[in-house]
Amino acid sequence: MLPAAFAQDLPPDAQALQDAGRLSVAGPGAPPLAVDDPRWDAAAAARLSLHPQIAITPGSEPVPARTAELRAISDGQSIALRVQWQDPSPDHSDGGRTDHFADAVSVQFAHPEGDGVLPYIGMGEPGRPVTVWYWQAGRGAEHLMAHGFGSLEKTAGTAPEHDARHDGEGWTVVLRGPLADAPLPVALAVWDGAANQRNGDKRLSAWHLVHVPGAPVERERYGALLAQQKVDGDPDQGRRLFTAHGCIGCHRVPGGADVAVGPDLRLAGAHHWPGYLRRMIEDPSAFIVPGKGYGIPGADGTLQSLMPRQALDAEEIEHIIAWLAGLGEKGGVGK
Amino acid sequence: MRQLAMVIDLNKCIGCQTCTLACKSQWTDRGGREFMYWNHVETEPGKGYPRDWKNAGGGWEGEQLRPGRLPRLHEDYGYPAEFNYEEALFEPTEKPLRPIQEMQWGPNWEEDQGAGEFPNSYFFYLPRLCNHCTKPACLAACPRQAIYKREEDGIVLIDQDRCRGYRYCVAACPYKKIYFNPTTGMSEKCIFCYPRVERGTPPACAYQCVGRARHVSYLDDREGPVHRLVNEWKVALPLLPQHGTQPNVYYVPPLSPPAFDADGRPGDKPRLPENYLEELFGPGVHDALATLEAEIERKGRGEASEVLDILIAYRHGDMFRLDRGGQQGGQGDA
Repeated sequence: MLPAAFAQDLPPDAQALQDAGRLSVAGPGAPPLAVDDPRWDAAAAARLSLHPQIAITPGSEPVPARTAELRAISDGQSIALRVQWQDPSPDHSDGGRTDHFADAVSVQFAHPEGDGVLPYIGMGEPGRPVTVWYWQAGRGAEHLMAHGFGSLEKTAGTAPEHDARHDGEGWTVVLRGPLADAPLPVALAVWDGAANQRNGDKRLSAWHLVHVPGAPVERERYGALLAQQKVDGDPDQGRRLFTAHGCIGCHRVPGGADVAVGPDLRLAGAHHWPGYLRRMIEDPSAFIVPGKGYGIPGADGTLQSLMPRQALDAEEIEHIIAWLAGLGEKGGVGK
Repeated sequence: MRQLAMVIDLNKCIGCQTCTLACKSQWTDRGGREFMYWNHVETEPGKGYPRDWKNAGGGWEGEQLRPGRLPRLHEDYGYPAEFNYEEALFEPTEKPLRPIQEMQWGPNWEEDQGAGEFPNSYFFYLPRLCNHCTKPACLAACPRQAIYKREEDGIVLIDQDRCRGYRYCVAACPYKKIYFNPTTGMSEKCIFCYPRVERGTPPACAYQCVGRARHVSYLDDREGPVHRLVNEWKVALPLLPQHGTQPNVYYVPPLSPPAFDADGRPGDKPRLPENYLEELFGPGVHDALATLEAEIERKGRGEASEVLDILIAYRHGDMFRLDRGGQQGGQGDA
């Protein structure tokens, strides 16, 4: 149920184009910390698809998505987020090994101020920072901040409180801290220690919005978020245009060649909102993933994307976005 | 960029581990570092420390990093044993003081073992520390720019505020001289005693060496022992240069007596096989050994030899030149 305060802003058929495009609603009340607090049962669960990060090295290969279940409870001041995911082998950083990695989960928060634009899903962008609650088995939780790959750092922010349990099949982790924004854009990532996962080698979701009942929502901001999840094109035409305009020469896509000049787009729809794809096609240099050779210094010294602006009209861009947004399997919101 | 560098004379190293202890008591005796030896002395030939590090990958293949593996705490490094102090010292028992669990491996595990058949068996000591490479693979492997090389002295350091414990650096170092601290969750390594260096005092391992085997000076300091041994006399060589990292710890290769022939007489081949030394120190090792032999002979005839005088190190203070902008270092004398 969407709160009446802005339900009118949604078209009646406001279908999620991808798992993260749809609001989930936080349960009301004092946020619990214990993983087995009975109040979690009453909170709505969003099932987010976690796909391996394959776009940028170091990543992994595309394998079937796993699902993480996200529940939220907030009183408008602070919020508790409970994440559950499958991982049969619990891997702790126990101080006894040097060749072993620990299971971990992160909740990444965006702060789309001003223009309401959500940052790049992979650790944010310069000028569009993200904050991260990071929990690692055996080491606890940290409060971190980032504005692009390689920029993650500890901040003065208080580490979230945490509780965790492994039940033989997977992890349940609760992180609790102050509520920053509403609706709250969050993205999940999990690392499997048994597979030596760390850094960008992880599984992650796209941006997902958590609405907090009673927390004020700016109308413009909500409108901007809505615009970023909207897509209005024909995927079949998009696929043809992607080939015809040579995009396929640099980006790996299903059925395409093994190229890596630009990011791998085989899971583009599973990780990106249409708005991000639109922004990158319209102005490839608006944000360049740092440190991966995607940028070359221009005449004025600023980095320019290797990707040229394409001779595409707005309609054609929408077709391409419609196709890319369909790449990668989606999750959903349910009880 | 200036580069502070070290020359270790393997003909003078007696394997006493004073350097190892100087380092350990200074930097690695607590806090998850107990198993770490930023400096250690191993016996060559051998598997070394961590075990089999020469086959653990890392380094460069052209401009690409070569994959490497992570050493294991107990199996490859070896963990300091707990002893039965309580039982042996305070209980009425005849049991001697022993490690509680039998150790399987540790630093210096194969001390003096070496290789070859009597009477031609051989070994030598190889002290090892971070090479503070000119082209560090560890630095290139870190996705967080947590590793940096200082402009003023080329010392390679890991920023403990930026390290996230990913350990790409550990895999990338072909010398396996970066250690993951499982207690702090971050990686650590030899810091070339930079707090001492900044005060003009040589690194502890070099300063405490009882054999006067270690020289420290800037590579571009033409008066310094390192420049003269490495660049002028070419008797000091980097370890395993084929890894492409351009190490800045140089070794004066070990001379050896002649091997015995089938009749038990000294033959014309050295006891340490030259192709083996070439694998370790590169093709320059033959000329380096020839120079050393010629200079020893010269000195034996009572003639002057600049290079042997440097290596003999009559004055302890002459082995170190760390002056940074006029500041004099190496206070030690005689």
